[in-house]
This record gives sequence, C-alpha cells and structure tokens, in this order.
Amino acid sequence: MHEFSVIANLFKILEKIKNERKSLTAFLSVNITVNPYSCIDEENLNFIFKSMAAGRKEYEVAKININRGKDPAGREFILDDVEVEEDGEEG
Amino acid sequence: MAKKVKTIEVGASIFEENDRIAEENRQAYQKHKVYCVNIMGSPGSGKTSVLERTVKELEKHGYASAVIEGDIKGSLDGERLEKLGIPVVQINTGGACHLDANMVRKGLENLSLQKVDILFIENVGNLVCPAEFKLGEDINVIISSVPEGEEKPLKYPLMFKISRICLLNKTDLAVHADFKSDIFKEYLLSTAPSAEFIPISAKTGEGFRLWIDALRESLPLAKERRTVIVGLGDRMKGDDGAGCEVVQRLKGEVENPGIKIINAENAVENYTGVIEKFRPDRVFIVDAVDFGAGPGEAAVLDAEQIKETTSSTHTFSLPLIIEHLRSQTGAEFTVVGIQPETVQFSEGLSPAAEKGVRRAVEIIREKL
Repeated sequence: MHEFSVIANLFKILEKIKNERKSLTAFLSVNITVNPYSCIDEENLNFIFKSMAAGRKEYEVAKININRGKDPAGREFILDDVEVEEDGEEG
Repeated sequence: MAKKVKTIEVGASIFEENDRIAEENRQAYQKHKVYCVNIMGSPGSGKTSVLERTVKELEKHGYASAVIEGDIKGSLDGERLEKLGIPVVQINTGGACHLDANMVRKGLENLSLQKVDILFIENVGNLVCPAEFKLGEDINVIISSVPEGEEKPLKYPLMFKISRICLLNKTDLAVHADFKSDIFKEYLLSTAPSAEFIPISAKTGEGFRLWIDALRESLPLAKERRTVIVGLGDRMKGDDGAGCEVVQRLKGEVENPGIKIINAENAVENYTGVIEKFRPDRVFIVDAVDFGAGPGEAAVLDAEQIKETTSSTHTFSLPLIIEHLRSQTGAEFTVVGIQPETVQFSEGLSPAAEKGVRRAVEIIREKL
C-alpha cells in the first residue's frame, strides 16, 4: 500500500522538474535509492507508477530503477537522478 | 525538432514533505518537553494491551501519557485507552497501511501536550509500511509476540533494524506455542545488533519492570525534574546531624515519585548506586558545614565553599562524591550548608542548629 505514497510523493518532485524545464518532453528513467531492507519492490513500484501516470504522456515510457542503499538503519528514500528527453536547439 | 537526452541530478528525498512535517512534529514535542514513542507491530501483537499496562506503570512513577491511536478503521483501541483517563486522539487512515507525519500533525491539533510527558503513537498494525515513514518520534519500539513465531526479525528486517527496543509480548503463551525465545533473540540480534530485547507479557506483567526502566532511562526531557535530596551527618555528634534532620522533615511532607529522599548519614558512598539508578536531573545535599557563618545559619554553598568545607565527621570527600555523581548522572548539584554550633559527641541539635534546619527546609522547598 505504501507504494502509492511513494509514487504520489515522487510525482510531486517530477512535476516540479517538468514545470521548471519547458523543453522536457519525456521522462525516460527515474533512479532512486532505498534502504537495503526496504520492502519496496521495483516491479510493483513500476506497475503503480504506470497506473498513476496513465494519460500523462511525459511519463509513458518512464521506468523506475531501484538502487539498494548501504545503510541498513537508514530510512532514506532518495530520488538520485532522472533521465529525460528534451527538445533540442534547431539547426 | 531534434531531441536530446539529459540526465538531471536531483538528490531529493522522496519523502521530503513527510520528513519536513516529521521535523515540525519533533519540534512540537520538544517545545513541550514531550518524549515521543512510535509503537509498531503486527495486528494482534498486543500493542494496545502493552500500552494499557505501560501507561498505568508510568503513572506510578509520576509520568503523564497521551496516545495517538492509528487504525485503518474504527476506534476500539482508542476507546480502551481512553478508559485510563488519558488524552487519546484517534486517527483513521481510511485504508492507508501506516501513519505518516501529516496524519500525526493533524492528530496533534486535537491534543494538548501541556501536561504530557510521554506521547505514544500506536501505529497501524503492519510490519512493513510504518517502518518507512518518520513521524518525528524520539524512539521506535517494535512489539512482536510469541504466536507470530521466532522468525519475524528475519522476514521484516527493516522494522526491527529501525527499532531501538524490541518487546516480545505474550511470553505467557510460549509454553503452549513451543516458542523458542533464544532463537527469536538470536534472529533479532543478527538483524538488529543494537536493539534492546525485552520479553514481556501484558497479561501477567512479566518483564514490565525492565521495559518501564528502559523507557524511563530514555526520558531526558520529562517535564518533571527528577530530584534526589540527600541528608548527611552523624546524629551522635550534636549539630552534625542537622542534614539528617532536614531530610527527615522533608520525608514527612513530600509525596512525589519524582523526588527521592535519602538519609545517608555519614556514609553517602553507600548510596551512590541508588542515586545513579534514580537518574536524577538535580541533587540537593544538605550537610552541617563550617562555612564561616554564624551558628544556625543556612545557605546554598558555592563551589569554592564546598571545596573548603571542613566539617565534620565524614570520612569521604564531599567534592569528590559530587564530582563522581555528576559525571555519572549529569545532574546539577546544590549543597545546602548549615553552620553548626557544636559537633561534639552528644545527641540532639542545639537551638541554633534547629533554626538552621528550619531555614534549610525552606530553601529546599523553594527550589523544588
């Protein structure tokens, strides 16, 4: 269930990035780091991401990649970086 | 138009908003000197039963509790806790499998923390999701239980890793469930080596003394300052017994579990363990001391005066004892001295020392 919370919070950050970059046309990959023992599962997270992103073309091809962190006592859930596609300069 | 691919470094916490609100919650607890304990565990582990007994035990020690009760639906647990006469705020998550910081913040809006020492947050019964969300708590406590089996720390490692204390509840059922406590402990410590393991039974009370002690040891911010008052002296040596007389009088009028009164006579070194175990925030020492005043005068002595004390029959060094206890407890020390008229071998106090005793009692009363 808390995957919904994760994705809802992730969307807030991604939307902010999108709004700051007018030339952004698509998110290609979303790379996050979680606790090594976090119960978050990559496949499950992507399924919910797709469901919640349905109809939003910037997220159509995006894939979430999970990197397991090293600190077993940490509760960090970090969005490390995103790979995006943007309109390039003409000419 | 040509497309280009870029990598954008972000480095932001996905739970940034939750963590920010959790920090605000933490500041709210600190402002009111409230210690916050996040209680987690699976459904049926006995979280509410443990809380019921815990709240009662803490009350005996002078601590006031409040509870934020998290459930997906209903208020059965909250109603049980309300019967204890403590403030309880029920949060229904409406389907969410955990409490988050914002839910707790909303709960706090309906809770006065003014008279609360310890706020318990009973999280939604779940060994997975609650571990991921900070609420602003001071410590996390996981309650596992005998019927769940020994292997839970291995199956849900994050929950056990983030918890400073692991209570194993329902130990009264161990014999019926063929439960191996040592195996559970081995799994727990292999998962979370620094966790404190305390087997308890909310039904019989087994283990609660350890649990309450562990909780009390974690309470640096409790509203009520824990106080020890120590009387020193030898009653067989005239006015030297003035400090003992002061604590005898205070014993008759102070009834507060947060105040321990000790008549140490001329052997305070025998009580250092008792004092350390009580974990006081402040210690008053009352003693007949020659600090150069008129007979029967009483005053709070400064550090220099304490160093120069020449009194009496004590075989120990008062400054050394204070230094030792200060290093062990971190408490602040106040020495109240009474100027003796005579410390010759005799019973009873001189009229001057009697006056000093009354004044010393007043000084301590004012400071309590």
